[in-house]
Amino acid sequence: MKKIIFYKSLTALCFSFLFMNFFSCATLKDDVQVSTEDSLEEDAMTLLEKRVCELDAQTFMGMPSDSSGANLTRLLEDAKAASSSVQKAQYAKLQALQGRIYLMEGKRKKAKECYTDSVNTYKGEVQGVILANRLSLVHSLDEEAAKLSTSRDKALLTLEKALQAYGENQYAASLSLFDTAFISLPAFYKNAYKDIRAKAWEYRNITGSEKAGTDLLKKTTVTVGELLVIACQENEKLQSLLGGSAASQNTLYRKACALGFLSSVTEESALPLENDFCSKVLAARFFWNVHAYLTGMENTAPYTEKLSKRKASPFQDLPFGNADFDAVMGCVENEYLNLKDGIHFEPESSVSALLLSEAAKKLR
Amino acid sequence: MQTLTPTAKWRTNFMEEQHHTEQTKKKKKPFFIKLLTGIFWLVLFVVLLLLAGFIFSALHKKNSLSMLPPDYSLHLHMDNAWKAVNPLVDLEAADIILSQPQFLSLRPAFMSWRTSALRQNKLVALAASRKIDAALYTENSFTDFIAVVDLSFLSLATRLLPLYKSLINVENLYYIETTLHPGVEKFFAFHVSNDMTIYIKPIQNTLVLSSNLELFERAITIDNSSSYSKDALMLIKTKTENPIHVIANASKLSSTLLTSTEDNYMLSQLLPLIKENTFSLISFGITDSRIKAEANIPLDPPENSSLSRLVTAPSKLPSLPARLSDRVQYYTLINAGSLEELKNAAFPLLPPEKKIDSLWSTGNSLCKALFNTSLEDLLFSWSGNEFAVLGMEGVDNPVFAIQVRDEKQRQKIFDRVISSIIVKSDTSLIVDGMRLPQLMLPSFLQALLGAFNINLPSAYYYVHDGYIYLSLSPEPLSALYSSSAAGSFIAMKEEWKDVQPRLTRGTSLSLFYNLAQSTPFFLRNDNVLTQILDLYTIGRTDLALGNSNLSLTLNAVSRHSGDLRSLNGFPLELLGKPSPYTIAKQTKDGPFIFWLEDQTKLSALNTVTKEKTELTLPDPCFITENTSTSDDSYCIWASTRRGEVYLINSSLQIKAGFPITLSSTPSADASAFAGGLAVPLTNSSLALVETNGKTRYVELPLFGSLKAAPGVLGENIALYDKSIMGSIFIVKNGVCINEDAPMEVSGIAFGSPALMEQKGSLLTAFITQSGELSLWRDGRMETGFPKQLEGIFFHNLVASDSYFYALSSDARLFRISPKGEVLIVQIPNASAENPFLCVLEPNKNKISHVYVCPDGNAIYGFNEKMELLTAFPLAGWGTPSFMDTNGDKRAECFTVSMNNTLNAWNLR
Repeated sequence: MKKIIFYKSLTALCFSFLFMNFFSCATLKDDVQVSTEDSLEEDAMTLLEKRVCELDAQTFMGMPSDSSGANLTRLLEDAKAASSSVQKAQYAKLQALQGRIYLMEGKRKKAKECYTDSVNTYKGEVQGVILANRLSLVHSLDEEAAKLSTSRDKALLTLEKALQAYGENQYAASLSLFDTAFISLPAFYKNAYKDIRAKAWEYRNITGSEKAGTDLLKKTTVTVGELLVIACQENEKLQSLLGGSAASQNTLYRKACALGFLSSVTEESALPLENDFCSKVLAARFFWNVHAYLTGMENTAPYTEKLSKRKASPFQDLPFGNADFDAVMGCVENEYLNLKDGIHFEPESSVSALLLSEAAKKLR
Repeated sequence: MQTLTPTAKWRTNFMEEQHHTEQTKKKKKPFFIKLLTGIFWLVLFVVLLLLAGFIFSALHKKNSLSMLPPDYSLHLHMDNAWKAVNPLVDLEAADIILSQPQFLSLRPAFMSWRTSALRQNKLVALAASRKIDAALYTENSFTDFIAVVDLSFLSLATRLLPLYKSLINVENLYYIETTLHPGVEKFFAFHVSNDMTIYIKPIQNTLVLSSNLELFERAITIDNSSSYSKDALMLIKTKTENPIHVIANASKLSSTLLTSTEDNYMLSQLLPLIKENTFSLISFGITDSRIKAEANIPLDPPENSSLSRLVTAPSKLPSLPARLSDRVQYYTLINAGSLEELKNAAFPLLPPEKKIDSLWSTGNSLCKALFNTSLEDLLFSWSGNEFAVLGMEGVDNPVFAIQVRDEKQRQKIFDRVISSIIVKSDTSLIVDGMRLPQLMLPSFLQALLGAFNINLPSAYYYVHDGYIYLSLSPEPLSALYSSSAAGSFIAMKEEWKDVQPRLTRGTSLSLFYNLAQSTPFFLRNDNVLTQILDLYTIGRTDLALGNSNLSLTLNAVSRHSGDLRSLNGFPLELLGKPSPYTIAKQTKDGPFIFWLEDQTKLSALNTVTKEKTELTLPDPCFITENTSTSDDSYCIWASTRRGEVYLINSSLQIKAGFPITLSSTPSADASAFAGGLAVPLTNSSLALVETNGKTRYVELPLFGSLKAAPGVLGENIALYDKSIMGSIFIVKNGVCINEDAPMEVSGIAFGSPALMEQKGSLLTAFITQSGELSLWRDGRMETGFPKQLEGIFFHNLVASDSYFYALSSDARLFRISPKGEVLIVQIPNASAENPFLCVLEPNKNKISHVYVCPDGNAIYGFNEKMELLTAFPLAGWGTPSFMDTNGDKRAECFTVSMNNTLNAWNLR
């Protein structure tokens, strides 16, 4: 038995030797088949880039990761499949994108490895610069942008700067950079980052560095007490009327009640409580009363009189005779608060802190 | 016969005398006629004298060349200085050069000349259309020159100079009389700087200028005409299609240049090839769209020179460019001879420390030992005459291409090399069905290549269509192959054809670059040359040899159609938050941009001198351009929140008599109109402030209040009384013309009405927030109105001469004709709840465009057909302003950005 095995082995060895004589050692290696058409399709790369930036935008906004888990996996698979490409620049880009995904997952070490691999493969890939920036390896994005050649690459770094400015609460600058970048980038970038850009637009007038004040201004609904705080922050006259800058919310509330700022114009109604939800109509009541006080207006219900001959209210959702009709009219005419569509006031809707702050600035 | 009494006789005599006197009087010419005749003769005499003077000046002339000593390095000749230099003034490249700090002081004068009406003046053109010969002498310094201006008949003025020289009073210009310089006793000296004085002397029909006194003396005292050879004279007189032609003493110029560039061993070895003391013709032309240059340099290689063979053989037409893929972004092609000839020519030029001969002989012995063949056989037996380095977009590693003369021999040599034990080869990689073998080059070959700064430790390669292509990475090879296989060749591209030399002829060295897709690494700098080259995106240089002559051609073209770029010096970082508008105004002190920061700080920037001035006003304010014709020296109105009105000039000085304090505080922003400034006030009136400070108040029967800047058209001012029961008032010449019958509006709205004049009627258009569009002709509602537009409108209408425009909150731009026809364009992915909308006439040529800034930092521009304008959208917030600041007859666009910058966009 052992002999048979020995002869079989010897025969195999002989054949192997003969075979090796015919072919050089190099040709024994398996062929590596690469098709540029399969993996380097521009559409595929665009799709990948699109998905990465969608995910990036979600992560930036702190969206729940469970929805992106599957996306993450798919993206990683896509990236790996495509990375067999021989196109160095594209490989470097994929590695950088993969690094960004790792970073989103919190795998910083792996992200760094991807960055090193990307840079070693091809220098000057903008995704590599973005990854480096996320890894805090970039001294100045402006300097990096100067090294880039295409306007698209430069726009991508402008987008990166927009995100950075947003993170630093510089919303006006962020908005400006977003819009500048979007001019030169494909539409999917605008779609992916539209929510962050919309927030930057909404917060564009927030300039204060104090976190407490900034947080309050970002609120989409506020209480009556918060309305008073916001109004006093933005209007010095009101501040001195209601007890100065150091006054507590409760003090402001009490003084506002005492001055009749929270009372309806035409009929007695229950005063809202300090922690009550501040509806649009309540805000209108407050602004109109302050306006009347500051301008020395004697008749705070001029519209009820002037419009008495009209059959219907100009607002479809606020009838004549409503206790706050004059307040709403006054606020709309003086542009403290606007109608939704020229017909509806939506009295019970909420008003964002930023809108209230803008209105308070107009009080003179 | 009747006898006359003595009285009658006397009377008769008297009558006769009277008659005689009258006759005499009649015969004598009146004084007036005499005077006119006298003047006529005098004028005729002067004209004839002048004519004689002009003719004499034109005929009595001296040859310009006789005043240029022939030992110059460069001779510049312009048949017509005006035609040659005037177009250069408009070049974009001039803007770049003059934005450099060292030239900034020249910028105002340059810009003022660029925009000057004198450039259109035929007399100025005639005066400047002179022949100029200038020569540069590089013996001592690069600033030594002589220029001879042939004034022709205009030299009459300089010939008469002794008569009026005492009247000349120009700063830093001195008249010098000296005996120190025989032959040049009297001349002018113009002191330019501490380092430079220009000496000037008119001689016959010419004006001689020089920066070197010794050269100046030589020019004036020595007749150099006989010093020029026949060939040199012929070359100088050669007519070229370019307005400027330059004759260079190539050997002299090169030796000076090479001395100044210190140690360039290889180039200095090439110097002896250039024929000494012969002249070469360089013709040169530059426009905004193209640079063309051609030069011919006679060569005289020493017999023992290694380059003799290469230089004397005429260049052949290379065949590689026709085979190159369009993925190639830049290339260098050598087609001067075989590899062996190149080796023989190049090795002696290499610095001795490279020890190339020793490297070669070592390599040769190793080659023989390892491959059983000589290095000559290994390299020369199969290679042809064409060698190229190709660069591609997005790829770090270049591709080397070598022509294969004998493919069988190449295969034989490669097989021999690959089968050896020391050369590793890998043939496993297949890209797109094409096998790309990899070859590890032996160290002696690497060392040889290293002498030429080529690093190729291992190379992927493929052979195709008579050429072998090698690269460190397979990526560019696969791209090259696949695009060539798809039939995409560089030679088919329009941009490549654009830079082809005029005559198809052989080339020994060819360089090509294309910046349209990306910038090659060697141009990734921010210096002046790179900025200028960046204007000419595609370029090609060819060098051809033959008949002991070297001809050089350069062709570069601009392919920046519809390109948008920032003006030099912009964007400007601002310290404060800007208000969302700028004012661009051409003032008598130059072009200015005005803007407001933090609502109180007014800034003015002279866009030519880049000088910035600031004025801080005591209260938050609004600024607008003074459009009144009565006093345009004060160009800016500012109205503060407290009700003070300022009139300010470009130096930001407040006009005497201002500020004016109004009777009440403003309820909205003000608007400038033909008569001054209209300020809506909180006390239900409109203040009209004139430029002389006179203020009138127009009381208005308002139900609500004025919450927006008035709409204006000439003297007409339209105001919206904002209220649920709103109405529109028209104020004209200080009177409300419809006080009793205002135009009524149902529903609330934003902004002010838009006005348009049509066939003598005043059209007033207005839209409510809910989209009810009204149009009144002379106060009467037009048929078909009010009309409902779909959308919510947070901005009111604006008007051009023919259309009204509205913008809905979902960023749809409506164009409405006075007949009520509506055309809509959607601005993608945008909202417009706080928008800016305006109609402007950027080039002041009666062509208006509508500009929209939806919610955000992007401005869109549309023409009347609602087509998006070239270069838009562009980054900016609010309303843009336009002004031609660089004199190119096309307005630049100025905007502010929300990230506190001031932008200036060149829209050409």
